[in-house]
Amino acid sequence: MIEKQQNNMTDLSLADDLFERVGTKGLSGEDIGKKSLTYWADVWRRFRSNKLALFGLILLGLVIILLFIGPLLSGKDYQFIDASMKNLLPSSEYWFGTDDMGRDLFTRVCVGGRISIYIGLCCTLVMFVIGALVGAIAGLQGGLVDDILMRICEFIGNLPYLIIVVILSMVMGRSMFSLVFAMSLTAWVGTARMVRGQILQIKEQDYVQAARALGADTGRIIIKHLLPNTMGIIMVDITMSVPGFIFSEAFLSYIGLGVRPPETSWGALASAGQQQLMFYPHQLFFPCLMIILTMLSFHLIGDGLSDALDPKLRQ
Amino acid sequence: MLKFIGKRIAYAILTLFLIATATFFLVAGAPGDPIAAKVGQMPEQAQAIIRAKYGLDRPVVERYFVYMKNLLTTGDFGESIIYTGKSANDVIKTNTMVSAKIGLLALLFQITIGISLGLVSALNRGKPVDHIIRFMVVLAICVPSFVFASLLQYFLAFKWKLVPVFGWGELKHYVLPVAAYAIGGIASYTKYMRSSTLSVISEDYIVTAKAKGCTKGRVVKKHVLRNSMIPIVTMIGPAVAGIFAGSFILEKMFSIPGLGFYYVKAVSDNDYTMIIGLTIFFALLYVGSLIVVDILYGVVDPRIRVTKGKK
Repeated sequence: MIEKQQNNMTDLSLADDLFERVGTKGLSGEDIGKKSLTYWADVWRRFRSNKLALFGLILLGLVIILLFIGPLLSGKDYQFIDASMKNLLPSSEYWFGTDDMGRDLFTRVCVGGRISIYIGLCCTLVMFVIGALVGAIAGLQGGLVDDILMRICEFIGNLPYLIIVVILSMVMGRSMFSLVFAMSLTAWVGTARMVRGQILQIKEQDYVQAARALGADTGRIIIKHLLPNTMGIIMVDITMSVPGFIFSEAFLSYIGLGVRPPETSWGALASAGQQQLMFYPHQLFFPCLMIILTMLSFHLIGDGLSDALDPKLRQ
Repeated sequence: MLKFIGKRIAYAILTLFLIATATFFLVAGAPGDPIAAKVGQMPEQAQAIIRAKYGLDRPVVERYFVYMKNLLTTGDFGESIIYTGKSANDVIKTNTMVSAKIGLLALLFQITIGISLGLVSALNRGKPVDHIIRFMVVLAICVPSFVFASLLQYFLAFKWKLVPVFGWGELKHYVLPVAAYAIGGIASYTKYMRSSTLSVISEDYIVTAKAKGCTKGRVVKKHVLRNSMIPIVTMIGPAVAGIFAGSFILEKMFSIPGLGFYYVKAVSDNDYTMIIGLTIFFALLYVGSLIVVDILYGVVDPRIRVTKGKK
């Protein structure tokens, strides 16, 4: 039925079969047929029924498992240089081939992937914590506090992101901390704005008024009503941010400001592979494949989540 | 409206001032000595002379005031430490337009192709065309732009020799960078246009228009397209502002003599004065285009003006 309706909408024509008599089916019309679901159980049910999103979740799981057991499987060290084994093509000995210093590419891709994902998660965590806090305070307090916080957000939001990241990573030296700091410095503004908007909206809803009238204190309202209802959009934001940060890290590694060797990351590997592209394309292919698979899984999960949480579909 | 513009410009000036100040002190305090590589084995005296030339013998605060005074009175962004005689102003003068051309061209393709694909995809929801477009969009979003650029270079230029691998000057040099630059944007515009069109299609006024006997073409042109473009228009603003900063990698990969190319070079050379000068100029461009775009919004769409006023 829904399928039919959608098709009709895209046809841009009106048809009689848009409407259908439902009937009361005897006396059982008033019975509650299904046990009630909590918010997250409902979201999970919708998410699960979305094949693509589930595929994304499984893919991400597989990638992460590979990153952790990969080096054990290959039994090689990611820093071990073997000058006689330079630039080999993939083989049963070196699954992804070797790089220009004779290091096993498979092991390097696994170890580098850990760092890429780790950076993505750290940045997202920082972004989420600061953004949600600032947004929540601004939304709840309102007035002067809100004004000041939003001015600060506006100021940071007006900074050219890439330039800030480049300058900060240059100044603070190449370390994991400076990378995470530089990338999350401007990123939390978007989260803060989003959370603030959502809280302003929810604050005025009747059920919050009702809770207040029944004597719930602010703490209870925050924990019971505001937090669960903002979590939805925050979750979507998070799944979309992790791959964004992995991208940014790849970009920084590419212009030589990413992780410091001998540590490596997907971005650093891709950038090294790019220089060998003309003769050994596989050196670019494998790190990129992993980046693409990870991006793909996060996107599918994010899309599935936002579909599962979409208030328009939920009504 | 005038009050809004005035406020915006005041904020922008404050922002620029803070960026300039922060950049100066951050870069001046960064680890490493920019002169060390240049002077190398020179005798003490010569080193001292060169340091004095760039004012590095004086305290940071004093250098800051001298720099700001020069910048504000004569528009002098500073002289390169590494390449004697080359100044940030030279780079700005000769290379800004190169970046602008590539960026604007790519943006034009992104918007036009993205909007058309999104519309086609939404109007054919659930049909093969829609599936193909959505698949391509997911693929394009998941591939980093430098990977796409490498692929283009490898196949179009290296294997099939259709266009030059890199270089600059003629029309054929535009093909690869513009394509590589545009692809990500096309994907995201398509994605947003699709979802925006889908939500517009289910609005009541579309049903009304259909019920009144509007032809399909007319409904799409008069009602769907106009309304589904609104969220896209708000995306164009930041995109315009990001043109100059967005092409760092591509300019480096294709050896395009744009601003980003020289910026990345300055960063890897530790060319302090150049970095400071170009950063300030980048910030100027970015903040400047944000203002212009904001003002244009107000002119174009009264609805945006109202929400801006409320904020």
